Amino acid sequence: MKKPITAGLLLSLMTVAIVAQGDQSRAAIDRRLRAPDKTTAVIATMTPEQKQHARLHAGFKSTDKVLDVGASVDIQVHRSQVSVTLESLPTIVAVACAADVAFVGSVVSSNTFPTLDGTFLFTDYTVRVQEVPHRGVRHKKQLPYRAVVTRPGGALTVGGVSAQTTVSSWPALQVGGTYFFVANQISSTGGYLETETLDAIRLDGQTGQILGDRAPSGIDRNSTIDRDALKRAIVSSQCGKAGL
Amino acid sequence: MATRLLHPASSGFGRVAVACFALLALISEGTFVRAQCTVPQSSLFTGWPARDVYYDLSSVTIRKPDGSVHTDATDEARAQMKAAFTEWNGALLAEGKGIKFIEATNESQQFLAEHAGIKVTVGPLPDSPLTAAQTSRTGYNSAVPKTVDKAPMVFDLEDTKVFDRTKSGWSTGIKKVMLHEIGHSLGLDDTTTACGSDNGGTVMPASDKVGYVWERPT
Repeated sequence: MKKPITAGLLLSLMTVAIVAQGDQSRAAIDRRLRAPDKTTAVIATMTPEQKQHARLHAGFKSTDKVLDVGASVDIQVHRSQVSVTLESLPTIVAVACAADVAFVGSVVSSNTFPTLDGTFLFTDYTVRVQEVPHRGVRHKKQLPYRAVVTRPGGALTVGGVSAQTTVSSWPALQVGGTYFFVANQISSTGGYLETETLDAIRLDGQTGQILGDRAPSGIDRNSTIDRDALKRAIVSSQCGKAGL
Repeated sequence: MATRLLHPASSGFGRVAVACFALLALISEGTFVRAQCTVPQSSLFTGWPARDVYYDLSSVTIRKPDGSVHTDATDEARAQMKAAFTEWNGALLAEGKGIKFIEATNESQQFLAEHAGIKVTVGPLPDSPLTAAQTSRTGYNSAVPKTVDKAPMVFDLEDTKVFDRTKSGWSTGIKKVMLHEIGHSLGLDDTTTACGSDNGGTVMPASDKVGYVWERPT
């Protein structure tokens, strides 16, 4: 007689546990849906330039106001590529020539902010400009000693709540890291937005590698790029001559 | 080979094995030789905790040029997506992961899919052309790496360069991309390591080759 009672008790406890888990899940969802607004106050502190950069990243979204709910969002973008194999260097040069500038710089600091709808974060990186192998005709002035490069993604803690957003095609830059950027100037802010078709190339001494998965279709983005060969290729091309 | 892959020594290896197994099942009609694949685990997300995960395909719709719903194409797309979830369920069950994908068929389940599961939608994606799909792994717990609490997915089914409905077998590309996206929700990242021909030996290649996406290997 004891066995059926024990089994019945166990079954009841399991049922209660399952129901409780379901309630908790539903309650957690409700809490998130009613989370207090932390985003508006942060956006109010942003400069007009930072708000303009936020607008440039408006296409990156999640389903929550990330600062309100303390969300971590990691967007994995899956792309296809044409099956043509192109030579990396001339292709990168062509992409660079079509952009306002191509420059080498090291990241000295970073600041992360929410986009204006609060569903994603972006980061403004301050970059110390070291070399400018290409400056196109649209970019009339010399590059500043320190340039701001803005990218989607970043991490931010507000009121003890941490939020983090990442995009596979725009990995975070490392403070202290050196990169080759191909970018267009944002006329309203003076900052720089990298071209959609080529991610920053992380330079490690003499060699480099494309950081994320934004690369022209048909090139091997895993190939190692020689820093000097890349610079020579850009400078010796017509676009390099025009810009220097 | 499949049996060996299904008895991994560690959980990380298990995820790799699952990814490979899923592909083995997917392309079992083909003649490609598959090698052991290395699929990186996300440093941010461990994937779903052991639980039922609802997915909602009710918003997946393909439209004709006149804006009306292309019923046959929509049904085919949903069937291929569902087949991908079914395939992962087989692999997850064999691995004893305690994760099961269930299609949401009523309002309550669709709510759970949206807020604690996978809601699949169709729309343009903000990045460059040839972007097939994206998955937004989302977690709310503070521990790192985190479990996934929900993973909304967007498929750019109107991008005819990627999903070309004029080509025969176009919809198998949808299944392949969905297998890949589900892998992301399970905490797998893309791999760029050669893993069989055209990186086809895993469901987690960093990119597909156009033309390869929808054509089974022969």
